Amino acid sequence: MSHPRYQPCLGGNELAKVLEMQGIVKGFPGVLANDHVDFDLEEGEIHALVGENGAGKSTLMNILYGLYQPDEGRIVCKGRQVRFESPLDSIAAGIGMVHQHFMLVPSFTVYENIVLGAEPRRRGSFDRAKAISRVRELAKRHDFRIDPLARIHNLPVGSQQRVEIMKSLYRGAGILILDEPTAVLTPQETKELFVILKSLARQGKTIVFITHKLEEVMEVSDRVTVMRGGKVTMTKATAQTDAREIARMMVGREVFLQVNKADLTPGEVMLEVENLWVADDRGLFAVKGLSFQVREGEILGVAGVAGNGQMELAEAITGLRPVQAGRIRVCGQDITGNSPFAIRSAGLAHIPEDRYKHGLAKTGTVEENAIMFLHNFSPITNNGLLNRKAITEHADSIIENFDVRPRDRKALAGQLSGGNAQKLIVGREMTLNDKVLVACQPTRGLDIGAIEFLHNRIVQQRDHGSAVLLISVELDEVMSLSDWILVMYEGKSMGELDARAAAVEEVGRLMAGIGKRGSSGKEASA
Amino acid sequence: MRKVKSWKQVLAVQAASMISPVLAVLVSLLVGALIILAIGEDPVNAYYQMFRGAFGDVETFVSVLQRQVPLLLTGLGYAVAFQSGLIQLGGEGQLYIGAFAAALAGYLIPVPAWLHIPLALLIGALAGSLYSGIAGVLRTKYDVSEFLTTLMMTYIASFLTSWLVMYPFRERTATNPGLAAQTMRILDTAKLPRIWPGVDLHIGYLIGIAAAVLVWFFLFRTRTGYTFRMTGFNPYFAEYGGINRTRTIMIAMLLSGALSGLAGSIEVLGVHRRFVDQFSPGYGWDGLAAAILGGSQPLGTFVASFLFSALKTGALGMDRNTMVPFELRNVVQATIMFFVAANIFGSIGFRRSKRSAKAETKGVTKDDSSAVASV
Repeated sequence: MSHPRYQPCLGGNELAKVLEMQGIVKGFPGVLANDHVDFDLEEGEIHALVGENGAGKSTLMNILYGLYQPDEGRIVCKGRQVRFESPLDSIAAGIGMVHQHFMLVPSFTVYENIVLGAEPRRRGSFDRAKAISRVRELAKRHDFRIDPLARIHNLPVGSQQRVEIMKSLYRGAGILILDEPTAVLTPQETKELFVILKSLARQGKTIVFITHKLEEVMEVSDRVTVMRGGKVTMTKATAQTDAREIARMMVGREVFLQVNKADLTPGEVMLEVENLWVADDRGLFAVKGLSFQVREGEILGVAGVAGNGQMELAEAITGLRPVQAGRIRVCGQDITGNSPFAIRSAGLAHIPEDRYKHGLAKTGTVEENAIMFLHNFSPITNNGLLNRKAITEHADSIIENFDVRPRDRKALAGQLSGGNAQKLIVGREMTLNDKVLVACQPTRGLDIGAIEFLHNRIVQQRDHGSAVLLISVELDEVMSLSDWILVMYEGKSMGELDARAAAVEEVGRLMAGIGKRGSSGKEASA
Repeated sequence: MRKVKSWKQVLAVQAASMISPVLAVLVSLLVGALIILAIGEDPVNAYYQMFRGAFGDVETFVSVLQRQVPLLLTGLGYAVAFQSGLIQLGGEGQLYIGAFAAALAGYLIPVPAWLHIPLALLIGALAGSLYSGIAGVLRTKYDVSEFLTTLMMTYIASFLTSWLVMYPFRERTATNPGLAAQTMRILDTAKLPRIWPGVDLHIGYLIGIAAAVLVWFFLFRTRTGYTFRMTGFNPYFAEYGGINRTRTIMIAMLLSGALSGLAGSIEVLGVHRRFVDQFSPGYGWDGLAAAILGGSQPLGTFVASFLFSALKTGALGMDRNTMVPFELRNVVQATIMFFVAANIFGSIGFRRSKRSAKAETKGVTKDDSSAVASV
C-alpha cells in the first residue's frame, strides 16, 4: 500500500536509479489512467510491472516511451529531468520498447530489420557487410543464437521477439520495456526468454517486464510494482513478497486461485469423438486418430503444448474445419462434417480460442454480438423480423449476469477490454443453455479477477449438467478445473488421467511426449 | 472505465460520423474554387450559376430529382453489398442489363398498365439480379473475387447491350429507318406516370424513396439483414455463429443487382421510353460515389445521391452561363471521393478522441496483436 519513497538526488542510494517517474498524472476523457504514479528503475534490475487490464501499466510505459505526454509529473533520467516528446527522444535516452505486436518487416532478413532506420553507410549507400558483422557481434556479445541472414517470416515467434530485443540493443538501449512478452510464447520459449533477460540484467541492462502472470514475476524479477485503478499499490523486492500478496494488491481483495467444485456423478455421454483425423492448413495431419468421451456434469481438460493439434481438434468439433476421418457425436447425434449451424443446433456452444477472429464482430454493438445464433429463433426474431425488446432484454441479462462493463448494450464490442469482451462471449455461449460446451483458451490474456470469474462460471456450467471440453495451454487451468485430463502430443492422446490423482510432473512429462501412448485410467475406472 | 454513455455523447457520436463527409464536400468545393481562380474565372459567380442551375426554378429542381433516381437506386445496391462485406462494383453493368430487359418487356408484352409497369420493372430488376448473380456464383463456387468479376462484367454488359440494340433489336420503322441505335418505343401502358400532372417528375422518385426505406428496414430490422451485416463486420464470426456464407453472399449479390437493374428499368420506362445505346452517363459510377459518401447507409446514400445529382445538374447551368467547363464537377466529385476514401477528416478532426479511445481499448489491440503473431 505504501508509496515508494523518493530520493530526488542520486546520492544516498546504494543502487543507482537510472530512471525515475515522479507524480505522473495522465487522464483520458472519463478515465484517470495514471493518478500520481511514482515509478523508478535501478540499474541492472528486472522490474516486473503488474496489474489488471486497465490498471494503467501500458499508459505509464507509453509515457516513458514518449508516445503520450503526461498531464503532470516529471521524468528524471540519470539525474536530469527530461521530456520525451516522441519515441525518438526516448530512444536517444537509451530506452527501448518491445511491443507485443512485433514491429518487423516479415520479408526482410534479421540483420536488415535490426539496422533498419540506423543503417551503417559507406559512401552514401547501405553497407551490408558492416551491418551483418555488427549484428553478428551483437548476437555474440549477448549470447543470442540467431542467424542474421534468416528471413523474419521463417522464424518462430520466440526468435522474432529476440530480433525485437536486438533492435533495441543495437540502438544502444540501456532500459528495455517488454510489454507482456510471454503472452505469445510457448513454455519452452518463455524459459529461453528468461535466460536472456537474466543475462542482460547481469550485463547492466535494466528491464521492465509487464505481465499478469504471477509465477513469472516470482521467477524472473528482482523488484515488482503493482498497479490498480491508475495508482501504484505496492513496490517491493520480489524476495520480500509472494504471489498471494501481489494478487491481493492487484485485485484489491483476497483472490482464490483454487477453484472449489463439488463431486458429481457423471451422467450420459454428451460429446463423443471417435478415431478423429483432422488436417491443418498445410494439409498435414494435426489430429491423428483421437478418441474420447465427455459426459454430463464432467469437464475433460485437454492439456498440451500449443500447436499439438488442439486448435484443429476444436475447429473440427465445432464445424469450422473439415474432418478427414472418424466420427463426432453431440448428444448422440452424428454431426461429423455438418455445418456450424447444424452442430450448434445439436446442442453445442463454443468459446473460441481467438476471441476477436471468431468470437466477436468488433464493429458491431454488444447487443448485436449478444444475439449471434439466437437470432435464428424466437423470441429474438419473429417471422424473420428482429424483436427489439427481446434483444434488449437478452443483452441486458448477459451484461448483468456476466458483469460486462461498461453496462451499455449499444457500446461497440471492439471498445470492450479483453476481459469484458470474453465475458460477453462466454455469457452468450452459456445462455444458449447448451448441453456441450467447447471452451478454448477461455482465459488467455485476461487478468486475475476475470480469470477467477470465468473459471467459476465454467465449473457452474458443469454443475448444471453440461459436458465441458476445456482446451488450454495453461496447465494450471486444466489441472484446477478438469475432472479428467487428456494430454495431447503431436495430434495423439498421451493418455487420460483422473485430475484428482494426477501430478503436475506426470502431466508435464506427457506433454513433452514422454510416457506411454494410448488412453489409460479412464476406461479402467469407468 | 465505468462510464455509461449519456444521450449527449450518443448524439456527439452521430454528429461526428457526419462531420467527416460534410467537411469532405466543403473542402472539395474550396479546391474547385481554387481551380476556377486558376483559370481566371470568378468562383463566386461560377458557384452561384451552379446553384441556380440546380435550384434556380422548378424545372431545374425537377431534373435534379429526376437524375437522383438512378444514383440513389444503384447506390442502394452498392450499400447492400458493402454492408455484407462484398466489394461489388458492377452497378453500371447491371443497370444496362436491367434497362434492356425492361425495354423489351415494355414493348413486347401487351398488358394493361396496372400490370405492365410492375411487370416491366420486375423483369428489369430480375435481369440485373441474375447478371450480378453470375459474379455471386463465381465467388461462392470458385472463390473468384467479386471485385474483379463485377468490374469486368460492367464492360461486357455495356458492349453486349450495344450489340443487341445495334443488330437484333434495332428499331426499323418508317420514322427511324435504322438511323439511331435504339429499340422500339415502349407501349404507353408501360410508361411511368407523373407524380403531379404538369411537373415532369415520374413516380420512379417515389419508388426510389420506398426502396431506401425498405433497404434500411431490411438491413437493420430483419434477421437476414442482421446476418448480412454480421458477415460484413466479420465473416469468421458469422461462420462461427452458424450463418451460411454461401447463402448470404448469393442473396446480397442478387439483391444488389436487382436494385441496379431497377434503376435502369426506371430510366427506360420513365425517361427514355426505349433502350438507347450507351444512354447512361455513368449513373452506376455516380451511384458508387453516393454509396461511399453516404457510408453505405440508406439515408446517407439518399442525401449523397441528391448532392451529386444537384452538382451535375448545376454544373450544366454553370457550363452554359460561365466560362467554367462542366468538367469542374468531375474534379469536385473526385476530390470528395479522395477525401472520403482517405478518411482524411476522420483522422485529423478526431485525433484526440481517437487517441483516448485507443487507450481505452488497449486490451483489444493487444489481444489482436498476439493473435496475429501466433498465427
